[in-house]
Amino acid sequence: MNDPVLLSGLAAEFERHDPVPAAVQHAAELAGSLVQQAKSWNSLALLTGAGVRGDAGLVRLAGVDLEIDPAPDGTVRLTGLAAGGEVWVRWPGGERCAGAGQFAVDGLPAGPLSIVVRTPGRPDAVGPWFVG
Amino acid sequence: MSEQQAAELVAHAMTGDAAAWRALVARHQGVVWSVARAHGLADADAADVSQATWLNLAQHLHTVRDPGRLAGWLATTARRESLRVLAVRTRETPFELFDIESGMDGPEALAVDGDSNGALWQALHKLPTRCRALLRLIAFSPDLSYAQAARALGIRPSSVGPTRGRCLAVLRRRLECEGLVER
Repeated sequence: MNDPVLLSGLAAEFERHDPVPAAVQHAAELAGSLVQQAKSWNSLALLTGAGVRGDAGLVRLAGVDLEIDPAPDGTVRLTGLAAGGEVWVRWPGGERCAGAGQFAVDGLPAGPLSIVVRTPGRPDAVGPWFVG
Repeated sequence: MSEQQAAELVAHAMTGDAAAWRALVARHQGVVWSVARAHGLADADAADVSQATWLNLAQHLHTVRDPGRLAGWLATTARRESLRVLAVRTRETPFELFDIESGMDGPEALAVDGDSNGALWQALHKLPTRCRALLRLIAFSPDLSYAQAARALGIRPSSVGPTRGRCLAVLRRRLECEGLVER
């Protein structure tokens, strides 16, 4: 058994025993909708570092505590708490005002989402992208 | 896949071709997942690493000059995201792949118990953690250069070749002992 054959067998074993979960693959595929918009949006001052959700599904982005829940109809619900400013949710092709303070937004498109906090007299705080 | 086909796939994905992007994901997601697992990340954290890595690529795909190096770029990005997740989790010590010896199995090892048929899988899990991490990475992307593999796993480039050779030799011997391959 030469190296390529052995390595090919190993790849098959890893795919069988520890495959990339379907939801993870789906999120990666959805991320692709950012490709065409990326050129123009890269000029925005993105905050560094994406959030880390972990098991709880909670993340802190652009100073906003967020909970991300997929809805049965395929859309996404965001609930959160913003300490200051007005929260906007943007996605490739649109954006929506979520409000200030404690907020909940339903019906967001599945795929890349980002939080922007707009405070009068201050530059927008733009969070990194995440897949909802 | 030839270099030309890889280049065409990236070129199509850059134009917003969703099928081409999905093909890129299908081709390289194993590498990204392997790097996250090599850092000892469980499902939820590995999922965050994967998501951040692919979002990063989507935002920078138009800057890709050499599609042949895409796997290396993804592996390096996944490494950076893995370290970031570990930092957020405030693990008590920085991750050092080569400080971990066998006996501290990662999440992927959980499936070994009770698997009576997967002789190759069982033989693999008798190898040190560093061997499994390296073999997994190069199994999913044999074209990675030693420098790219080293960056992805945080090890010295000069150790990649010898470690790869030793790990494969040990694995092959074990399979020979079990009569699974000819001597």
